[in-house]
Amino acid sequence: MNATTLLRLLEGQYLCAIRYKAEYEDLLDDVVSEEVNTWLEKIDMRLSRISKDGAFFMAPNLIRLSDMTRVKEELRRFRDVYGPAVAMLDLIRQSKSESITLSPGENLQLAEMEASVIESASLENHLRAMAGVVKGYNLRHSIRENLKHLFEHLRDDGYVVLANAQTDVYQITGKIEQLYAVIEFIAENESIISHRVEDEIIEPNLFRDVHDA
Amino acid sequence: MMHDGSDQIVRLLETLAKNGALITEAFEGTIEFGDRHRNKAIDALASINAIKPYEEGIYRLNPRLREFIADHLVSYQAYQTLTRISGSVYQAKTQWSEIRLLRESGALTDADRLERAFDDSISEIAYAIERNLTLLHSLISTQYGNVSDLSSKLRQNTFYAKEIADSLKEMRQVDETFTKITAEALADGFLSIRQTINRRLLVGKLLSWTMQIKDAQAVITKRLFLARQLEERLRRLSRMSLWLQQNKTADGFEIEISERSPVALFKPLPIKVREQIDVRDTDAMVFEKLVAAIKRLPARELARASGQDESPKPQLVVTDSLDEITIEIQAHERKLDELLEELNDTVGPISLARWKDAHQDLNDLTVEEWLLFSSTELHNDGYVVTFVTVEEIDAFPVNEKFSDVLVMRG
Repeated sequence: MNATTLLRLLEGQYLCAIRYKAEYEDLLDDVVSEEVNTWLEKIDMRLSRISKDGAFFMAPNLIRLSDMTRVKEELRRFRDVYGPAVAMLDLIRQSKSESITLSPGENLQLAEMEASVIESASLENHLRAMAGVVKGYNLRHSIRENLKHLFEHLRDDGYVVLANAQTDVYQITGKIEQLYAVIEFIAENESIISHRVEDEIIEPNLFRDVHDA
Repeated sequence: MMHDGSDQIVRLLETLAKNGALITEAFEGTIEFGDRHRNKAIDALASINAIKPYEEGIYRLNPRLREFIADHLVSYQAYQTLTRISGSVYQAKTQWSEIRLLRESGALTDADRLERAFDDSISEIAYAIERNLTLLHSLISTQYGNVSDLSSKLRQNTFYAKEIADSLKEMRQVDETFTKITAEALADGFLSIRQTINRRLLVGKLLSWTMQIKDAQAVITKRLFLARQLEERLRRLSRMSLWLQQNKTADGFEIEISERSPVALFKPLPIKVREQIDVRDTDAMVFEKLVAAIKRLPARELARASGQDESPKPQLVVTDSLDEITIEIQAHERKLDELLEELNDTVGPISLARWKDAHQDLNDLTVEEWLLFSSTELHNDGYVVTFVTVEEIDAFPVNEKFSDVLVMRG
């Protein structure tokens, strides 16, 4: 077992192939994951994954009342807990809406995003509205500097890593799937953000031809 | 005739081999005229149609040759279509009808020649199917490695989902057509044709090919599903962002959480881990670390250095206040003092029972209580105490009973 695998889990990190490659690959080994699970069970925890192929993390072995209260409180304070990440990632999505997927492993180039924001007054306004959200944001700073603050904020929160410091390329980590899971849960329980008719994709059914065959 | 043909093929392949570098260049893009030697090579390749003119002075590789090399290298362009086999199936079907007609009319030589062409058609179908499978497996296993952009990969995935659907339809067409031909061949007594079809197409192979195409279809369908999931979660993210913008006074959501809620909601809380040195460990490295750790500790303050007397001082218990204990004197105790004064003034004995009767303020006490209390106190003070016993006949006396106590100065 990798020496840092357990430590990272105890730190409360999400071990994905992008941010903690060695530890993630370590846990893909059934023997190691079993060993880690046995160890964690002794402290009433267990090894879990966000999705079938998602990042590993340490979850409570049995969900206690205190755990449920904590999550309930996090959802009640969604704007403070998850709101900044939602707003920042959505701005990134809008700046590259044609081809972006915001999935783990995807590269995000600061220069490319800067060009999109400069070209679009709406995106620039959106960025300006982030003044109270992004750490270190300053209205006197340039668009590039403020976008850099935005990426660094996401980096501090573990949603991206700096893949190339020279070219300011960031890469999305597996932790983003935890955010998607929370939003999905809310969508299933709250009508406010659930599926709307106008959001339907206008394109032929991708499955029809396949299934008809 | 056959010998001349072989020579032509040999010469053709020699020309290709001699100009291999140019063909490689043409496989990657276009080729242009250059020096005399290069121009001569281009002319040679153009004369055998290995390259085709594209623009003035620019040539491209013959698409058939490109296809042949690409198949060999398993290197495919993006959106490379699967080879359609319905044309070959139609061709084989027509050839079969003609073979039957020729046989019936007795033109056996023509029928034999057509049988060879029919055999080629079957081989072509088998080859095309296998090539399609190689192409599909190559693209799926490299996750559409011919493009790097994820969206383009997803679009290619959609494209191949449709291609596979068409391919499966053609496989059914092959099955139906050749099953019918084998039945007719058996009825007409053309056993060799039946055998050829069974060996090259039907028995085992067609089923295996169909299975492989369906496997590829399953992978592609799964990817399409994942693509839809990706789109759906981005839509949710954007709706959530919009909700946060439009509902500035709302902080979040009131949703009940239970043990069955998704585990991903339960973010891990960090558990602090701190390394400690085992002071009992005798390992040299650990010992060195221990010494280093001790060195890092702040120096002990020495009292002598500051010139203060180190000798221990006497200890003193200091209390804030001394509580004064006030003893409350009871009524019967005060009466005892009165009795003492009376005793001191009296020569003879005093009956304690009668003395109590004479003092009304002792009514709170019973005679028994008064006698026990006063006699004990007076006896302790040195007075002569005499118990007035009760004469009672008792077979087994336990206590000596008395009715009064007489007291007098000792």
